[in-house]
Amino acid sequence: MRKKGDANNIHEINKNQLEELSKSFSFKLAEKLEKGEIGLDETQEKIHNFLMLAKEENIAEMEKFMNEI
Amino acid sequence: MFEFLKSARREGANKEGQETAIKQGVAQELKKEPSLKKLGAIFVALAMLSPLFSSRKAEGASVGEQARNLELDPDAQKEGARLEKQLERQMAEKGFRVEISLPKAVIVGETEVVPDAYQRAYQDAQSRKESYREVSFRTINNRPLPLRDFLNGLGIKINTAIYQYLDQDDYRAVFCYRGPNAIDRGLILNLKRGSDMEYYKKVYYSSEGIDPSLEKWEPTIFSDLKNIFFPESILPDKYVAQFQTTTGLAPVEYATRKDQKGNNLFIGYAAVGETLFLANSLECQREILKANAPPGEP
Repeated sequence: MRKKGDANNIHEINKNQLEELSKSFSFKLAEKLEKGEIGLDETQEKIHNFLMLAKEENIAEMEKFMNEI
Repeated sequence: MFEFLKSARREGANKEGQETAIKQGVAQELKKEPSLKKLGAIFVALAMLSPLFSSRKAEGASVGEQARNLELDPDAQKEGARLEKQLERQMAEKGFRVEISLPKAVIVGETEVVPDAYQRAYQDAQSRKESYREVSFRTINNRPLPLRDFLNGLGIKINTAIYQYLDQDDYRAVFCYRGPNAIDRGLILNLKRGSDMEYYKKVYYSSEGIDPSLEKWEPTIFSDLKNIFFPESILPDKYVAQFQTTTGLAPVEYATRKDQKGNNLFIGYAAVGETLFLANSLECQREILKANAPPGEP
């Protein structure tokens, strides 16, 4: 049986994971941009796609997306 | 404000230099205290700058670019606005944006003249005692009241060199409540979106661009905006105003002078990105810039 507050805890865990992922994603994106491996158009598009996955809290897809950059 | 928003304007007419400056700025911001909120703010900032660097067509572009590109087609303007609103909502739901300042609309009735509608908006701000309120003006057909009708109705003028760049539908009046008898006022004027680099080069870098034109406006700006900023004052048509620059969220050019009764008058303006912000007090100017700062900014 779930204890009171479990739902909130799960939400908090997801939120923390999302924030951690966003940090890794940001650093990786910055590196690619600095090395000239991606342009501004692509940067904007990747941020957009990442945010859309974050909105759905789809952590697995976010990790996959980040690894494929 | 993100430094790269400023560098985008500073790096001369050289497109390559502009892009490099934006790239460096974005990379720096991505590494500085990264978070989802920060990513959202960077995304919106890039959407704002996309006309300067994007070579893509609407198809396949991101939401921000689609909104911008769609707006080039008058029939698709609504769709562009819808997409931008949707983006804002999504960001608000997930906390990517700290503040969304949506203007309240005042309908100008069939028999109502513009000064009455403006006065009604003023009185509304007075009764609500809101420290900051943006108001847009619409016709009874729920269409934006064209800027030219707003200006003509109130008897105010904008220097023609600047007026040519202004969007007829995208402007707002601002009221900053400071007390029962003290409501400062402002104006937010948005520039027309261009369809090519040539337009933006002209706006930002030519001798007929927005910054030189603003300087040319300074001698008449007090009298041109008198009817909304200083309705009680009597002013000569021209005035040698000593404009100074202050710092803050964005540099504000401002000048002060006295009217016939010795009252201190103030006008400040700031051009940020594709928007021109004007106010009749520094406090109100700061409120306007704060409310319209890119998301994630303090």
